[in-house]
Amino acid sequence: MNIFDVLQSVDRRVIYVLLALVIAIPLLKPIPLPLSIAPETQQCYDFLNGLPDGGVLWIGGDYDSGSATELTPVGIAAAKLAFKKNMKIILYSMWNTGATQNHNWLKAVADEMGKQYGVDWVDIGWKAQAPYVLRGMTDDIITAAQGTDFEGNSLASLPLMQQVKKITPEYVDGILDLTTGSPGADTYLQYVIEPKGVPCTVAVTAVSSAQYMPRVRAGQYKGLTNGLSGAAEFEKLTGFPGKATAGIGAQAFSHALIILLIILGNIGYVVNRRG
Amino acid sequence: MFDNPTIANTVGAIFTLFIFSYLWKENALYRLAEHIYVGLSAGYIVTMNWHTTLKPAIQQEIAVDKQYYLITAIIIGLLMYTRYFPKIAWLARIPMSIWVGYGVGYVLVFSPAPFITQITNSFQKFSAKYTTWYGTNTVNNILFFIFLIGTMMYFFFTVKRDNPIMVGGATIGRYVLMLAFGSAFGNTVQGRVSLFIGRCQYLLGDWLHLIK
Repeated sequence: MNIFDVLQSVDRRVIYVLLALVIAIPLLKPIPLPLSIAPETQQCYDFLNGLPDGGVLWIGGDYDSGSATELTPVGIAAAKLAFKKNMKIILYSMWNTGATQNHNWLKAVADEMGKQYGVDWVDIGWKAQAPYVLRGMTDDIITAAQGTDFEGNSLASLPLMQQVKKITPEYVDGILDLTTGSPGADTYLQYVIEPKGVPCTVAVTAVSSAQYMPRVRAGQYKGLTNGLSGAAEFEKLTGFPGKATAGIGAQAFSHALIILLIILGNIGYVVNRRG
Repeated sequence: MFDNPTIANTVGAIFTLFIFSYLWKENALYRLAEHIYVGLSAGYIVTMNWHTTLKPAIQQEIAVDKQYYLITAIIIGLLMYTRYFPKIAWLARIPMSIWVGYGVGYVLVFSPAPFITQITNSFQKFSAKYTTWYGTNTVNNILFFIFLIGTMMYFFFTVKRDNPIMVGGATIGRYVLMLAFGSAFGNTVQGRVSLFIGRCQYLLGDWLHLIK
């Protein structure tokens, strides 16, 4: 048995342990790495930063805890940017398993920045048949959302919702959709962006980024952040480093390990085939 | 008790490790965590439905706003549960057919518009050099056109591939698809690694407080 046979027959549990070490060590001992900004991420930041001070940002939290690593950092950085510009934020979640986590991170950001619920931000929460509710909210938010927010408070009693009647360019200046699948960015595209013309940018998981790139190129989305690396780039642009920036070193080394193992495995395969 | 972040994070960490134990080999701890997660998700979704949709509908829209027609909708929805009674199981087809028909019709109305914009955008300029936000120039536009046509030709299954144009176009399409799927796979690897990074941040940071 030569070295190449050994390489091809490595127990996968050894690879798991190697991967765990390669990820854990950079998290424990951060190694600063240069981070270049992708054009799509720059466009996403330029769009959000270009929204009018004091305007309204609609955040779609369309993901669950499985995608939180890649998307929540973008939401947090964007919320901080918006609050810094004295913008109002309305949060709507189309994934029921993510509604609570979205409420928690936005509440934490709002509390940190001294923003008041009902005046500076509102969480509509999750509603059954969420895509159809979204479509209804382009006509009347309070009626479509059954009059209640995430915690069951009356939407009509909240000062922000007395100003923002529907999801149209007249009331909402821009949308940031944190999305991992369906319902998500394509739902906004169908029911809000194309029919009503509200501009939207998206933050997507790396798994689904290839699907959304054609829409970004067509101008339907004003920019895109791609997975954890996009989140780290976005944090760098906004000046609010967070968990994505902390995790990018681990991601770089883990990818290097995977590439190395693929190369070694293929060398072994080619050599053995020739032999 | 579970409002205490230390206890909540410890329980979460323990179940995370139970799930990861599957990587060593399949075991009872993994199955325990898996079943608890499935049951917890189902219970959470039922609770969310009650608190965010049914309860406001009953307490406010029917009782206060007197929208009594919603009672009809509730009755039709309850017909879904007739599936558990064989003699009247056919009644479940009523809400299902309303749901499917309404959903298909609704989606069909709004589906074409996004694709029209993408088709329009595929008409690129060849003759003049110009830039967009992504810095495209003439060469990129020509390549885009060739790859788009090649990919579409790959899926022309009703035309015989017995001439150089069809064969050449389909071959280009195949290689472009391979490039695209390779890129998608690379992104998928990145996404899966990101999941594990998130769990490591939770275990090392939120639970053990070894990282900030």
